[in-house]
This record gives sequence, structure tokens and C-alpha cells, in this order.
Amino acid sequence: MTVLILAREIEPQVDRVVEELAARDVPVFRSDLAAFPQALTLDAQLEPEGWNGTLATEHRRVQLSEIRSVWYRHPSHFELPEGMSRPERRHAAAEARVGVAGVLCSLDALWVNYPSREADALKPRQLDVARRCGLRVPRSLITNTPVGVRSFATGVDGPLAGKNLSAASLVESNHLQTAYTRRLGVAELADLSGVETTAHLFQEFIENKEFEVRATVVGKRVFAAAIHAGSETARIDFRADYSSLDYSAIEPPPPVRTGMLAFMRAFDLSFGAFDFAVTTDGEWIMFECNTFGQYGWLEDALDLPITSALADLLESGARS
Amino acid sequence: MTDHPTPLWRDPLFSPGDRFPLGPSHWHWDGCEDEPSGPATRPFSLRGVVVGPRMDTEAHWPYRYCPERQVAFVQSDGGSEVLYLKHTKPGPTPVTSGTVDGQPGKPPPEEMASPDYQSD
Repeated sequence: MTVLILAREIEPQVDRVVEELAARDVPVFRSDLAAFPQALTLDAQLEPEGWNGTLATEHRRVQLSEIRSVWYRHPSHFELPEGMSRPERRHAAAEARVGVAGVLCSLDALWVNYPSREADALKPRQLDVARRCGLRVPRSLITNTPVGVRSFATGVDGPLAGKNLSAASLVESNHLQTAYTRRLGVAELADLSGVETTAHLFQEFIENKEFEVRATVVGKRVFAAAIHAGSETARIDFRADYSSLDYSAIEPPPPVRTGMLAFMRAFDLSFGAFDFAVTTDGEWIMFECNTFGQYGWLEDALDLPITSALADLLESGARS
Repeated sequence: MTDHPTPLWRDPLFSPGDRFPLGPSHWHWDGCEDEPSGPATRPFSLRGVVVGPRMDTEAHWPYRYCPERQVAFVQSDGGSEVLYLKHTKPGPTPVTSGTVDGQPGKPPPEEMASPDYQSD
């Protein structure tokens, strides 16, 4: 039985798992979907047991019926042959997506994570499901009205956090730009122009945050790392100042652990990286769950056996 | 309690592309010369963005993907080829500029792409 890994060629965390599975003599077929259709072929027939056939590259081939688990680690978009017109490219891309995705998603295999389940986990849905799973989440507002922001701020009676609902990065003036979390006090909230241009997420700013936690869940195993900010910038958003961070291993309180696992079941996820603020009162407040979150730097800093846990899960193919 | 949110296959708002999200090839991030529009139309959420490197001047980070071993390699300063996975360790490494896992000034890739940012 084979582990299928759909990921970019340059993805160090995938490399680690590939090496771990190789050390266990577990067959692995790794490919980026950018290889389709030029360097990756799919040849599948519908048989009485389901779709069967082969995925193959110049170097490797796997029988679809032999795939016991799939690690879907954000592969890249299909790279189509040069020379196509734009309508042809659009058509070919849509055909590739439906054809390849349709066959692969039909396999009787464990997915880490199943693509549409991952896509289900939009931040507003996450906050609602987390709440229902017993996790404390920040008071939150999604709006495109300044009056709504002011009313929310009055209710919170403290600073707000301005956050993105989707990707934090964009390219503008040919520069990569990153929108980190912002602490919004009275001065920042005085001029709310631009709120009306799209949906915006505002949350209560957790003023009594002592540290943050990234808790990586693999199957039913939880690996949590406390992230201690060493600068004011990192205290607002740790991603903005990695050089100031210190880490320590931490065990989530049982209700938090139970809530995370319930959240994973609710979205039918096998992997997720939760971000929490932990207050000076010891309360854990969940911000979000990154369904393809990074963990390598925490694994290294704290010797957390996350790679091994992922290899265990993929090797077993066990579905909960 | 109904734990499970409505799955996408039942949600008419989501296309097949949303259900099978794909990212940009090889982390290639297209350049864009567009300037910020102005206060009347610029989203509030883009205030205070931190400006990173120019997309057309950032050094390309050389790596070689080994299809036999199915992992990537990079050149160390000494010229030898080493496993790329070694380069996410904390602290100085021969080549940290292209590291994509939580290095200073480099947001983790999870922040670089929302699931549905690229249309078919």
C-alpha cells in the first residue's frame, strides 16, 4: 500500500515525512499537481470496485487501488502546455481539475486533509464551530459598515484587533506586502474609511495575553508550543517578529484539548494547527485553525515528534 | 448540537475550484505594478501593511528536486548538496533567505495563499 503525497517540490515539512516513511519502508508517491499533464499522467478506468488505474511520472508509478492515504499539502496549479489560447487554457484547467480531483477524491483512502473539508474551514465558520465545540473565541464582528464597528467597539470597551479573513499577503507596486494583525485603539478607530469597501473582521484585542500557543493536531494527537513574544510587535502578531520569539512545550488543558478534537471532527480534518492566546488568568482563547499550518520550526525548537505522528497516520491509513 | 457545518458539496456558492484548492506553481508569486488606489476605495484591512521585498529583485533560491528520493536539495556555501529540510532549523543556516517556514521577514506559506485565490 502506498502513501500519495500531493505537494510542491519545495516543501521541507513534506521532505521530512517522505524521509521518515522511506526509513519505515513505506512506499510513497509524491507529486505536485503542477506536473499534470506534462510530467504526470493519470490513466483511470471505472471498475466495479471504483476508479482504478495509474498515476505515473517518468520515475515512478502507482496503482490507484494501492493508495491507502493521501497527504494533500496544497499542491500547485496544473501547468498546461505553452501555446494554448486563453479560452483553451481555461477549458483545459477546468477539465484537469474536475478530472484529476474527481478521480482522486473518489479513492477509498485517508485524506490529510480532504480538500473540500479544508476549504470548508473558512474563518467565520471556524469561529462558530469552535464556539459550539466549547472553545472560547474572541468577541468578533464581520462587517462593512463603520457604524457597526463603532457599536462593536463600544460593547467591547477596549481596543480591537483588525485581522484578515483570508490571505495576509498581496503584491502591490511589485512588492510583497503583508497585513499583520493590528491593535486598534481610539485613534485608529477614528477614521474608518475603507471599511465599507469589503468585509472586515474585528475582534476584541486580548489585552491580558500572556503568550500564544500553536497547537498542532495530527489525528487525535496534540502537540502544543507556547510562543513567547519578546517585542511589542510580536505581542500583537508573533508572525511579524520571529526573531524575538522564544518557545516552550505546553500541555493544553483537558477542555481545550477536547474542544480541538471536537472541532477536528466537525470539519472532518486530520491535521490542523490551532492558534490560541493564553491570558494571565490561564484562559485559552482560540483565534483560528490553519488547515495547512506550518510546524517545522516548532518541531525543531522543541523536539516535538510531529513528523513521526504524521508518518504514523499516513502509514496506518486509519480513519476515525 | 449540529457539529458539522454544511459541506461544500451542498453549498451552491462554492465552485469545483473552491472544493479542490490549488496554489501558485512553485510558490511563484506574480508581480503586480498596481499602486494603492486611494483612501476612498482602499480596504481598511490594508492599512499598515508591511512592505516586503520587490518581487522582481528577490533572488531566486536554487534547489534541485530529486525525483528518486522525492525530496529537495540545496547547495550549501561550501558547494556541497544538502537536504533542503535541514534549512528550517532555527538559527543561521547556509541559505536562509529562501526558507519558507517561519523565518524572520518571511511569513509562513499558510499566510501567502488563501484556498481560493487563484481562478482556473
